[in-house]
Amino acid sequence: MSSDFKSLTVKKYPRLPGRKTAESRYWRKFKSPIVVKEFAAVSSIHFSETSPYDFAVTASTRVQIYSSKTHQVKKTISRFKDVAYSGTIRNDGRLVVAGDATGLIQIFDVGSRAILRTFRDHRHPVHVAKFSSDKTQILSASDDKTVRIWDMPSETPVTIFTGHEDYIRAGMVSHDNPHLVLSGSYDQTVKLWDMRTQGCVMTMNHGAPVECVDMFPDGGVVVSAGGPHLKVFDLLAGGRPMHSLSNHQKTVTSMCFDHSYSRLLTGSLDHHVKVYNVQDYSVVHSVKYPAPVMSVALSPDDTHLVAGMAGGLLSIRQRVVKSAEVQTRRAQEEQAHGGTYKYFVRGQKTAGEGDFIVESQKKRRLREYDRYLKVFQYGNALDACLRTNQPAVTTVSLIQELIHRDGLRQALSGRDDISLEPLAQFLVRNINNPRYTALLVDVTTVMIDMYTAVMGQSPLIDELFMRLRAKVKQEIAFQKQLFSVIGSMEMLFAKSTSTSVGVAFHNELSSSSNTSSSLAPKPSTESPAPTIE
Amino acid sequence: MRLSDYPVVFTTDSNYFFSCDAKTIRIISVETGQVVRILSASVEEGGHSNTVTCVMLNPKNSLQLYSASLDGTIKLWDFNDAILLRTFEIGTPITNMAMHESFPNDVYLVVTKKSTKRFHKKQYKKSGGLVAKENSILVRYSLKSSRKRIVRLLSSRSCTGLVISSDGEYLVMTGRYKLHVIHIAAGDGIEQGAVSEHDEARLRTYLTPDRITALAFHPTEGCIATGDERGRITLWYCFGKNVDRPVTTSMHWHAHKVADLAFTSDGNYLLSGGEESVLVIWQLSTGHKQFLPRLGSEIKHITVSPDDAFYAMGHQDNSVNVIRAVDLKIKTNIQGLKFSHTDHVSNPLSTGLVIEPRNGHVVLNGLPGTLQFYDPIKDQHIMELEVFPRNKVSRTNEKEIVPPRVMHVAFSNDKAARWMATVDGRDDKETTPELYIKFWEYDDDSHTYVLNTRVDSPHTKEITSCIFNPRQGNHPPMVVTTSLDGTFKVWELTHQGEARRGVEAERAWSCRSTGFYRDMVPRAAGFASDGSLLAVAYGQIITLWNPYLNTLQGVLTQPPENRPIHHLTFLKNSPFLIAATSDHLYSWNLLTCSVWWSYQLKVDRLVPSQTSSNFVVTCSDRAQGSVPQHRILVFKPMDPKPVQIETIEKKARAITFMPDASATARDAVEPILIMNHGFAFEVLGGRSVEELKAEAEQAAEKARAVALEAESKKSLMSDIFGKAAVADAAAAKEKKEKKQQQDTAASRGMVSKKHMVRNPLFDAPSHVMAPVSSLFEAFMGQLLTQGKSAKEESKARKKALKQQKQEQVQQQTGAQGNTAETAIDIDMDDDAVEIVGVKEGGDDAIPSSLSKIFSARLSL
Repeated sequence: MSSDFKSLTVKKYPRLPGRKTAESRYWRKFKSPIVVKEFAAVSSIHFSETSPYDFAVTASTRVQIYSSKTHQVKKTISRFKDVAYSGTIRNDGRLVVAGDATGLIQIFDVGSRAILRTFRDHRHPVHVAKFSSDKTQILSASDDKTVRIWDMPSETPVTIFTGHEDYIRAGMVSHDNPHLVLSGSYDQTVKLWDMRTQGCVMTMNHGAPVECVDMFPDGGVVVSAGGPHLKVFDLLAGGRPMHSLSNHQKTVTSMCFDHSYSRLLTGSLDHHVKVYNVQDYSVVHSVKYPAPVMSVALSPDDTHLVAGMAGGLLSIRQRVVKSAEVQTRRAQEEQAHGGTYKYFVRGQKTAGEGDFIVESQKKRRLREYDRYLKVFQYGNALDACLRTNQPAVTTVSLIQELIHRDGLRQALSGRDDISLEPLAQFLVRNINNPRYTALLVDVTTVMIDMYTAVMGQSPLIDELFMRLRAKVKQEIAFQKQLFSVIGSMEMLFAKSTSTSVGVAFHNELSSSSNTSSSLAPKPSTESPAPTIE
Repeated sequence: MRLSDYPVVFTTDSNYFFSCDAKTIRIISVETGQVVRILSASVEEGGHSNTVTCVMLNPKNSLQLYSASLDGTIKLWDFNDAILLRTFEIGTPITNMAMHESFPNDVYLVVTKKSTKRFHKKQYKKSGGLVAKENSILVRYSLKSSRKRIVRLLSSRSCTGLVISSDGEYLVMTGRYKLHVIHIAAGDGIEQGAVSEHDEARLRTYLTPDRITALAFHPTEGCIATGDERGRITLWYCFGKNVDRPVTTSMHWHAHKVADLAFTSDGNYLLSGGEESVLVIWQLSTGHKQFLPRLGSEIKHITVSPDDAFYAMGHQDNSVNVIRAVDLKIKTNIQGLKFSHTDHVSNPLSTGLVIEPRNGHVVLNGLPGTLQFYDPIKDQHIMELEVFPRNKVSRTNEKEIVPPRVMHVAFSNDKAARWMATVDGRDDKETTPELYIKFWEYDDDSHTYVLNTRVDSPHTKEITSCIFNPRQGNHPPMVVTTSLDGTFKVWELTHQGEARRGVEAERAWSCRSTGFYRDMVPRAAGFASDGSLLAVAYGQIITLWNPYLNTLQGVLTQPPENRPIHHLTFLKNSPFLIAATSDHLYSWNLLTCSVWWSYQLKVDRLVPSQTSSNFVVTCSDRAQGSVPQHRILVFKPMDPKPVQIETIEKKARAITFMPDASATARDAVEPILIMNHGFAFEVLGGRSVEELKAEAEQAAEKARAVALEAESKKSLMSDIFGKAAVADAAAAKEKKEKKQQQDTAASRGMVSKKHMVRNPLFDAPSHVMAPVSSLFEAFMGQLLTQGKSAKEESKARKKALKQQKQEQVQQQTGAQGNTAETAIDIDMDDDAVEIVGVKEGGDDAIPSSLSKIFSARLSL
């Protein structure tokens, strides 16, 4: 029964519901936005599908290639006579196509920035210029109401689709079938064209000028954005609308998928980028930007979220990938392939049947504060906990343990101003946290008890005590306000439920099991405010 | 069981030890920890009538045991057969006893004498009316009948230790601040009478500055070790006849008083222990200390086994730990009821006796902050659950550290008893009081309850009750707590977060709703047996709620009387609600919403039956005469006439119904389990006591068999190479013969002795033996035959095991979950099976190997 030393059990508090789902935690990891100022509104952002995942940003009369690594401009292509649109990188990452307001479509070499091909048939601004899913063709759509497919080597149009009645501002070629072309126009329709029949095979009504269209990789479902709406059509059911979403206040300007096509991101003029779960098209996260979002893109490895805004701002958010995630990805890649030695010995254990495996017992490593606790050096344990930047809950658990051991006074005693400072700081920071208040008030009382006699000798501690006092005062004022709010609410409740006076049954508002952390104010526990002359 | 009140004593072979358990003496096997025999089991058969304080092996015959008791007798036992051999009447309570082999007919005793009147008066004046100090008198008692049997030697105040040096030269006795060394060497005045203070030749008295609490005599040298109140250990040397001031050495590690000291038999090490729960092993020559910390509870006694292999420690919490001296690991741990040895003021029996539905064990407060699961029939510790996990540390100053406390425990009533709810907390009157509700889920893998949810300060004031909703089915389990803060809360199991692929959603308990009634204080609550109605007692008012819809269904007001209701319970399958105030018992009929009957009765405890609509009440009243009467009454709800009335001498500490399916089948009152004033369990009614006893005896029989099995000593060879094939084969043969004789009961013991049969290969004297090179083959051949039959053996073993298990299941319907015992059973069966299994291969193995050896000899 000579049991092991029980290391400190750090308290666990219930997670507050709704605040942080796993999903939002994931999207919150896209942190530390880098903001770059462009000359004018960023109309298009497109990621290269090959490894460094550079991206092309189209703004004003330039297409700029940014590096994902450095977030700096790598190349600038500015050989446009007018405003450029839709700078797109080919899936091998070597060519860029862009249209412009004069109706010109140009193909550039990414390395040398040389113009390789020029297509001049459009008479009106070309807002859509993209590579087809087979590498030799490009798609363009223009304000002259036509959609064209060009053959790159010969610089000649292969097919011209006419049928839209207004500007065409959105279009793409199906990933699944390079013969299918999707386009969205300001005539409020989305049309599906087939190069084999040279005509429109399906027309879907969006109900607002279409700004952006996209398609799932299997080619069965089409998503279109226009006005504040988002619509989902089922192509296999003859273009039947499946969902209609209007989660944005203003026009949705841009859409993109994550690499697994499980989430859809939309950027809108209402400054928001929203993330949808494509299972049920519910909004799982939302990011706010300082200006209307004109374009949004997510890198193919899901590490960069780039949004271009109307004011010319370009925001790049990066998610630092955990090594564990990289490892699982690598492990997936490194799964034994046929023909390798690994594949040959897979599933075999090194230990034979009769072998006796001696289990190695890992030596338990205690944390620093635990090591001090074990040898009853309570003061050092507290110092170690405060010094090593432990989360507040660890320190609180340690203080609780000290109280259990009747060692709080011992831990607090005999300190000079330098060694008292971290604890005082901690109290100032956390005394108004409802989960810790009761305990920290006790600690504060003990501390004030012990150190009132030497008050006024150290400006450092005096200042901290003053701050503590201010904090407590502020908290009491806040609790009073809450009380009055609760009082007035109870009056309303009493009015609405006229039955059975004096008998009531409250449903607990928060499903959190920690009732002490609910709104119920406890001003009485706050009363021992520091008394400092 | 009270195991650790007095130090244990080992047998000379260190296989068993004796433990004084109130009036009885238990012989416990070191190997298995099972009680092998009980001496002095009943007063009628010549046992002690009061607490046994000291046991000692007969120095003349190590198979006999002397026991001294507070009833003023010394008894001599043959402990192998549990026979009382002789009884010596002393007449005064004996607290200590010492004997030595060099004068086996003399026994030195410390007896307590009630102080004489004169002395008493003096004391009374001195101490201002306080209790007179205990007066210890050292006497010599002659076991041989002679004219003057009792010789008074010395009187002292509150003796704390009495030892005789190993050479029989000195007798040392300690009392308060004095260390008395008496020279008692043989022939030096056996016939002399009392030792006077001035007789310096025979008595030396040394004073110490601190009160002496522990005493030990060095086994080889003239050295006495004493421990004192301040934690210092003093070694006294050179206390010979003419020395005024002996040489002393002091060693100080203990912060509190030294509870006991013991030397190892070679005298190289001194063991000490005390309140710190740390065993300190001092190497005397170097002063080096070795520690064995965190032993769970304060050490009270230390005993070293005669072969130095084990140290036995008696702990404050009614347990005995036997540790191996080699690696200081636990060898055996025997635990009694822990609650009986805790401080009942800070740790009252607030949980009562709760029956765990899963195994029918009793759950109650253990050490502060823990729950103990206990089997009352077998008087066996099952499990300890730490509700408030902590490192036990000893106090740093005079003030005791305020321990945590478990207030309530409740089990979910479904068949699986998946959930347990506990209420615990700690209030040191200085800092904010802590209060927790904890919800535990049964873990099938570890066979224990694992914490699922902890709720910090669920109520602002003390919780008065905690009950589970007994409703079964698909509803999430529900718990209701009532508190002095005026509210009751309904807790429900909820799923938190969404289930992900392969991972179930996290389950946790949370508060669903809070209820209150005016500004009154609820003190008790109860659920109807179908869980549809919740009754909460607010003061003298009973409120009825629908726990699912949170609506108040009705209010039952008591007849004019202002005593608040303390106990409230629904009865199974009946519309009656029983409520008890401090001096009334009411039975409400909920169909008419009126009081059906009531009694003026001082109710201490009220417990409903789990299987029928009976309920039991303990009450005490002073109505007749000045002596309070304690009664146990069993009622049926309809009838104010009790079904059963029992009168008990002293107030019962707790009471509950024992789950017994057979009782309900017979429509009889279930047996009632009582924890009496002396913390022992008693069973009233139900199956007859004989039946239960028989059951317990059966278990004891089994344990005895196990103990005997374990007794067969392992040799070094068998430790290294496993059991010898030949020996086993011979044993099997023996067994076969025995079977034919239909002698089953005794054979097991015999067989185990036959394990010692030696290998016939090496029977011959070494000078006629074949050279090792030629013997080698034969020897290996033997080993290999065992290997050949291994397969068949295992097959047979499995088959037999299966059979055995089935039998076992049939046998022990009541005692499931007692894993320790079943494991032992299987072990035992293993041996038996092995013997049977080897038989086939083994029989012809011997002749073949023998022929080989003969041929080898011929070739010589």
